[in-house]
Amino acid sequence: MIAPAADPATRHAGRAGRAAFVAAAAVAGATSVTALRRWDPEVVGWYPPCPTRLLTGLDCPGCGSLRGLHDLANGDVLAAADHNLLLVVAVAWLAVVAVRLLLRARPHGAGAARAWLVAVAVFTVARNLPLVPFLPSG
Amino acid sequence: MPYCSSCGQALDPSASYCPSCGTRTGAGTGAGPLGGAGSPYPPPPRAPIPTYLPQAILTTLFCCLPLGIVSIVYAASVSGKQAAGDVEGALEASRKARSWAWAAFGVGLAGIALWMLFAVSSGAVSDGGLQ
Repeated sequence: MIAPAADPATRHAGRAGRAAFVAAAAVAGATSVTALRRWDPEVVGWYPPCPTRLLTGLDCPGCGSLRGLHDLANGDVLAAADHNLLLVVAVAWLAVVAVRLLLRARPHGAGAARAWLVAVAVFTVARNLPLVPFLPSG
Repeated sequence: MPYCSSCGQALDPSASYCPSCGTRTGAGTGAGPLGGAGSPYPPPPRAPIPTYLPQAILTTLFCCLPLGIVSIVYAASVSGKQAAGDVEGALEASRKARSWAWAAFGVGLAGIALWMLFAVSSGAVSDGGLQ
């Protein structure tokens, strides 16, 4: 008897706890996206800066994702990709994972984690090189 | 040492329920000698061990902290070890991937909350028409 692996956050809480967790995450996500859509991180100053960038001046793999999410929430995929290309890829991939989870399928293939590791490493190096346009967070 | 069939937690051989996730172990219920929890062998081929890769990606891209990357490293290790048949190692890596993802999320959330509190209360930044 092999039970499906439970979600990490809610394993102890059971089905009701899991539903509550998913609902809370959905509300938090929708609130964040609504706020990001309304208030542009390039205009208002109360969004947090990236600590990596603040300390080192370098772009981390997440730099630009806040501005990118603002662009995505307003339907501008190209501007989002300009701020953080990996963000656009990640949002698409996470959407696929979410659908597969809903269908109770395996969320992703066995090589996905390694592929992401390589992608994040290459992206981080490339976006800090002056030779590659488009990739820096801008 | 028997293992929980659901979460892989090592079990007391006499336990009826997993102390970690509450799944019935099958101890004393006549479950087969191989396979189910309560067996003296690690679980045989089973449901994929969770990698927590989606959580790791989320924390890496939205928390700007290196903790999320540690989680991706462990997620990659889960897949590799499970493919190699190292269930014990894969479960350990899975637990670490989960811990690092949540640590990254917690640190990121705390940092964001502190920053916003500071930024708004100090009045040092434009509120962009918030009020």
